[in-house]
Amino acid sequence: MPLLARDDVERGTEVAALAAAAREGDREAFRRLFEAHQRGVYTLLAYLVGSPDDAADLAQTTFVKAWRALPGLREPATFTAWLYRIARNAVRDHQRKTARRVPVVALPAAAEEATAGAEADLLAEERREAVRRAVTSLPAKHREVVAMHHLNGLDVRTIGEVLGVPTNTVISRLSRARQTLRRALTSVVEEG
Amino acid sequence: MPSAGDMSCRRARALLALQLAAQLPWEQEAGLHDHLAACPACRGEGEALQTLDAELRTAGTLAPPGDLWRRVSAEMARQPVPEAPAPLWRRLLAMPTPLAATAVAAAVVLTVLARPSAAHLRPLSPEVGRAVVADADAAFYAQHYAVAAWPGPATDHMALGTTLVSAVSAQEAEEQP
Repeated sequence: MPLLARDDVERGTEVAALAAAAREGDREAFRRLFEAHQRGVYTLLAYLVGSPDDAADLAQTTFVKAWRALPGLREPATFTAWLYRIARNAVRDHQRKTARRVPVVALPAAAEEATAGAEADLLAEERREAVRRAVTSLPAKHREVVAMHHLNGLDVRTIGEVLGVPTNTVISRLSRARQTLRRALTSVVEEG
Repeated sequence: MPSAGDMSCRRARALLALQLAAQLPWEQEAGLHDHLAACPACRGEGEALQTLDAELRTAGTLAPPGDLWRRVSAEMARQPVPEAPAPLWRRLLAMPTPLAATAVAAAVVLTVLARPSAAHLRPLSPEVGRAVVADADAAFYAQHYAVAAWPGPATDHMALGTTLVSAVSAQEAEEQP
């Protein structure tokens, strides 16, 4: 299996070009970066803070901070890892201000799934809910790597850059998280 | 832990984790493939992990609120377009003169000290020092002349650098109303 799929390479090149343009003040380039990353950033934030409203506020904060700090980004190719670091720091600041750890709660269905409710397969929705509950029950360190890797598709090297840990540590955390998830989702995994 | 072929099941499970992370070295692929072909337990484990991965990818992502870009762009509109940091030489020029002079003097001192040998430098005579800082405030010169009198070529040049800084500072102080 290659380390990077062709799509990943092309996507990375495009992100780097957009980040370089946005760094020079190109708002349209930044909007395209936002489009490419908003779902991933929001998903990570939602799983870290456990509240869709707080996640939306923190996503706004993350992108505005990124826009302000972009001129200081030396390597545009590292934009994704850099953006996720800003998001994690936003969570840390948020938790410091509220002076408490946000309790892990089950996340409600996302907007697009809710609007498609009439046509949604109830069984599939139940499976999604089960997966979300299982992920939100993980310890924070495992939850964030699962959110970044399995949910958002970030490669383990980028996650290592985000967290400031070696790639092997990321792989190890993912492995332990998967064991926990498998136990929690036995029926879902066996049905699949 | 049982094994199939040359690879133990423990080793195979570790390689499965690498494979899921797209980090499996190519030279290990054939060995893992052979083990999975011969070991139903590890093959089942691999399939279960693939299923879990697929479930997580399809079920886990969340859609942000539809007005998120409107909120972000509204906040961006309240702020000026960020500017790229200016090159070093432009930032030095923009600095107040004493600060810029200090930075230049520090660079000169570091350059002198960083040379492999200062033996080729000849000590400066007090006359040269006086000539250089002739326009400087006498108090500043006196302060640094004590340093310049310390024997040694490197200290002479260092003293000259600090004296020049003081001279520029003093001159600027005099020019201000």
